Amino acid sequence: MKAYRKKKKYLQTESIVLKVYDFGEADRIFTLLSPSNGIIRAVAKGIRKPKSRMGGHIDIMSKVNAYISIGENLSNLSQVEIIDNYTLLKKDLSIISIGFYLLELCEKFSVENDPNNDIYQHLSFTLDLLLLSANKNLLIRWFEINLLVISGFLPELYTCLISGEKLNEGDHLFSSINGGLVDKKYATSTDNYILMNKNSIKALRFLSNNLWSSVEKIKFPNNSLENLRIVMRKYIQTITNTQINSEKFLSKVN
Amino acid sequence: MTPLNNLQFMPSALIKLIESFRLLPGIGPKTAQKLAFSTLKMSTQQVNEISESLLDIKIQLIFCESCQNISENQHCNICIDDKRDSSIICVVEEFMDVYVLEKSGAFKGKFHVLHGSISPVNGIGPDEIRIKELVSRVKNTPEIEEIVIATNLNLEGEATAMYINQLLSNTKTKLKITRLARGLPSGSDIEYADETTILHALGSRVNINESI
Repeated sequence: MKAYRKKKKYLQTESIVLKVYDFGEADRIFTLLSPSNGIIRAVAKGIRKPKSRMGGHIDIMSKVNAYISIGENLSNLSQVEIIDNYTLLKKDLSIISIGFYLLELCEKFSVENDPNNDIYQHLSFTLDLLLLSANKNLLIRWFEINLLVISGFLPELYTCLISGEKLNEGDHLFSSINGGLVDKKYATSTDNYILMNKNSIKALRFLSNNLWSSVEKIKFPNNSLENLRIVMRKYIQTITNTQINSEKFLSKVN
Repeated sequence: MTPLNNLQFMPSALIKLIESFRLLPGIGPKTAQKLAFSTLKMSTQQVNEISESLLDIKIQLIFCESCQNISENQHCNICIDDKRDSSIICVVEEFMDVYVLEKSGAFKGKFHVLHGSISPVNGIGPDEIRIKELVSRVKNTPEIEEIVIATNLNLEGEATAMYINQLLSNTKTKLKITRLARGLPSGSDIEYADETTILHALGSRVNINESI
């Protein structure tokens, strides 16, 4: 009698490596972000050995063409081809720390086996810009805000979350729990608000509505960008319900 | 770890031993069973020796105060060896790397073990590994002239090397900081080499008379 053997599923996809960790004696597990399948976790057997043919082709923060055999628990990375290794980015510690931060954010906002071409393209585009952009802080803020837009977490920036009234031009409070701005006069003592000045609110609105080509031409005050950094850190932390590990390294290096 | 199936007929002590063997890297359920059955066949004295040595590595081994390598005393055998060159320190990620470098017999200096590499995505920052100890060692030891950074050749290893370089370059004026060469491994075919390796191998090419 012919034995029944389940047919293996194969997948070939372009992807960016978000995370790597050692597994077993000489294996590594890669977390890949692909446009067609979202997050894919795959094991590369024997990749840590010097004679592995795959070792030099794949590392964290590289864009690859991956050939994966889909397994029930864990998929197997059978072959990879480099598309872009971002070699120039990897020569600067400050840029590497930004790269780690972007990768971790994408991992937090992506889901396994859920196609998300927008997040993939957003990450790919931002990695390409990392070396070219003069204002790295602005690029990080633009990346964060647009990642929130893509993921459906854009905070409410025009209407008070408590009263429902249209917000006047001026300073307001940001509520990370409710996800948006609150008029100062309606603030409750229980919420942990962050004060946002007029310029920071304007900057946040502009960044969420515009492409990088328009954003890079504008000169934003440094204190507005710092205010945005604090707001984004708190808001992302609330949404993901975890600490962003690479944020600490990012502030240490830059 | 997946649970063991169909082992209800076995005595609980044996199941516990199989489960314990499975905690070791590279040991699957079948190997664990083989090891457990072999243990059963051993004499009580042999089993005692194994269990004592297992306990000893947890009780007797500490980290060397100077290089952070595993040691039985305050300072490890490499650090107290006067014949070794104290002016050159090789920085490695894990203590296993020390043994690999020692086996080659090519390095006669001393070591510093970091116990990991910077991997912010996995929650490991500079404070989680022993970089602070390295910096204070370099500052407080005047004879150190060269630091060889032998972290792994991946992005985490590179980031660790760059971070150490950033911290150490301001500590001493005459400190030389080097990185292990990267290129093609011995016995490999160029046909299968990746672009990054080829790039580095070409970049670090040496005069044929100096290469042997």
